[in-house]
Amino acid sequence: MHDQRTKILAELRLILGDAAGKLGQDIGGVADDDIIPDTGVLDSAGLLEFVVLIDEKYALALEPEEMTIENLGSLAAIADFVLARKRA
Amino acid sequence: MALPVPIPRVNNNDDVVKIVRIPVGVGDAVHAGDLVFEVETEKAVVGIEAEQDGYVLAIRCAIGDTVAVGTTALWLGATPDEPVPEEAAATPAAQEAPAGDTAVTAKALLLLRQHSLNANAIPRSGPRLTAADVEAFLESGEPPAPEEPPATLPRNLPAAALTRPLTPPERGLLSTVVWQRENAVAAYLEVEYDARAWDEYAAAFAKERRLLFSPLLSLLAYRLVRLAPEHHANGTVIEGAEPSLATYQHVNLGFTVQAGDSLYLCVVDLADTLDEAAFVARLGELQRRAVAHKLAPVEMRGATVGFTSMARWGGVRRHVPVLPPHTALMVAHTAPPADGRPAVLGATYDHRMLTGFDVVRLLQKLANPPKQAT
Repeated sequence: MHDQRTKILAELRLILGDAAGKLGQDIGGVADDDIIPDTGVLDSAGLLEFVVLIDEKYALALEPEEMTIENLGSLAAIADFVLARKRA
Repeated sequence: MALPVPIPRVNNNDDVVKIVRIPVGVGDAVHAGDLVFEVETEKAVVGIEAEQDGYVLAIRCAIGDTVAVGTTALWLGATPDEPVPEEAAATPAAQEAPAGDTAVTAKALLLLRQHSLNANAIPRSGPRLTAADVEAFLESGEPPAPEEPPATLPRNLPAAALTRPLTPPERGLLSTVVWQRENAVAAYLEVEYDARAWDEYAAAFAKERRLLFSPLLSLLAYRLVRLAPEHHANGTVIEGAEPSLATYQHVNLGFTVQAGDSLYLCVVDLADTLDEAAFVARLGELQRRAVAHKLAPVEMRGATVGFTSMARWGGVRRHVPVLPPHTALMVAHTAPPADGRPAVLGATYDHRMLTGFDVVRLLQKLANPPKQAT
């Protein structure tokens, strides 16, 4: 489980890095628990694109009510959400 | 009196659709919302619903027919034995392409578009280019003649190195701007406003619900949903011998989403029937579907008022948007300047329906959030 979470975190970090890179931002200073919208590495449109990418990658089929800080606000939260979805 | 049921425009790209299913028959009783046709467009199969109760009096097309948008395909009556007006059948043979250097039947035009052919390159068997002419050319296997520059290009311009048919998104954009050019009298104005009230309102809304995304633009759009009917901006003008003003019964909010190189107008249907939170959720869902290029055709049509934002591109001070077809108002939001100057809300409006005063009053109200959550 830990290995799986580590792997997902690494994947998410790559996806976030790509998305932020398109906006000229570097995510080197973004910790796993940092709230992504507060870091400024993504604007609102970039955040939307990021969420769509992870939704497609992990086949999350996200519902509107799941678009919360608790579920998707940080890389760590997203990794936990993905793992919980896999177990469901 | 018998009511004609036309083939609606499913999306801006398609001037014709193919009938693939007719689940009703003459004499059937239908209710508003019942499926009466299924049509195939370039992108999907879409169901067409009856807009009111009635009896099917006549069906003017058949499965497999390609019919032009706007053609009467079915007649409904209050009773099953009402007389049906005499009119042309909904078949391509009754529709002709606009006259040009070559007269072309609608069926032939459809084939030309499907195969990216130039009408002038196809031998004709008669005065008009027919589908049979195009099919014979295709079967011959001859390569199409090189594209020639359109005859309407000015002589002093260099000859076009390459011409090609428009892609569906390009046809959609052309259709939109042509509608405005040919139907609306577009005017634009803007008002300055202090964005802090809206920023605080949106922040409180997001904090209360622990939202991941800023709801600012969605909340602005929802405010527009409420204001547009109050300010008589949710309608359009129908010109003709007896001009009239059509006010839509509901507000369908069109919201632009840039997804890569594609610009979508996603539409929240019946937006006025939703509360604020439900609207924000629904629009968020449509935005995600747009970014994923997964909007259904029905999610991109029927806007009665529009909202767009260039907030992503800071430094854009003025944005004069195009009116979506059959709307009278498109509000444009831009990001507040970093230098402390006031933010700007602009709007393109149809001057046939709205005065500058109407739009100023609406924008001035839009510049402030509602006093209470709705």
